[in-house]
Amino acid sequence: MTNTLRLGAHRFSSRLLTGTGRFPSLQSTVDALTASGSELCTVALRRLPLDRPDGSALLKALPSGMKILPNTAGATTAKEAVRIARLAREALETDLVKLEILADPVTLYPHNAETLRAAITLVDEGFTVLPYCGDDPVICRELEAVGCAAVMPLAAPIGSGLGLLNPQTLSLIRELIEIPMIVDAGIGSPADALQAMELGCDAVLVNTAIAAAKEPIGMATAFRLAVEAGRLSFLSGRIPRRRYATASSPSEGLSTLRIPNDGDVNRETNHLKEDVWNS
Amino acid sequence: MLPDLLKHLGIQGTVAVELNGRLVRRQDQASTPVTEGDCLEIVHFVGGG
Repeated sequence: MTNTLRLGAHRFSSRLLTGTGRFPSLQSTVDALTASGSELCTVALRRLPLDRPDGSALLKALPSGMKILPNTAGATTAKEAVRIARLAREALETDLVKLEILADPVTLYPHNAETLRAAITLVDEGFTVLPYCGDDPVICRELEAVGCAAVMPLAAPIGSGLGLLNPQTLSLIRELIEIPMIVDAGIGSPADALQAMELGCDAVLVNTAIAAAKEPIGMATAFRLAVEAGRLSFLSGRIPRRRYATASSPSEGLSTLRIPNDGDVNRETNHLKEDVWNS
Repeated sequence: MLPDLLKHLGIQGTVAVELNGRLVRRQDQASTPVTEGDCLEIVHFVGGG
């Protein structure tokens, strides 16, 4: 199994994708992205305020070599998302798009039906489509069938930091599709990212858990290590869970170390002791 | 032309432009005229997840 993450024609050695929203400052964004080791970061597209016409200051400040993944955040219909994706491609000269269409302002859950509609159009127009979607194997298979380059099921509601609410379903999705699965939204701590990677996720996208941490740079570093640890653990194969204890130290040669207990007939000789121990 | 207007407005950096609801391709900007009454949408990139 290769350790390279493939998204369409793009190759990445880092499996931590980082969002750039909600950081306290531009400098902290850049420093945290550098510490994260990420090679792909998300950005959002918004109307340029004419009183501050120096647009896209963020892009100029990003670490060198960082690829940009524009999102369609703000879209509530397929039509809006397609419009945003086309604008982003024109400005950034990238085929990558994180397709995000929200259905509800309270939960920020993805609108799976509109997302599928938009995905069909965008794939047809040559985009490398990475759709944010529900943690539902059925919609993930549909998105794969229409040609998406990956699926991005949520771990928990956006910005909630609740971690993997349904690891069983995420694990099931991973088994049922061929394309990469990137867990997006709801990751709260490096432990959550590690859990996601350990169950076989191909990458995780983290934003708020880094940006809103007390020390974003330290937290970005912690996430980098957790994603690497989780990936390595997955590749190395964890042991099966067992209901009973299994000694990790050998029982052979133990008899010479045991002190005979007076009055205990079964412990009078080494021979008997071994028998008791091994029975 | 469109680039003249963007320059006049002091717009720099990476932006995308729609003119009357139609995306202006990068290579077409220099040859796209802008006249009174046109509706322009100019977008740029900000932090997001």
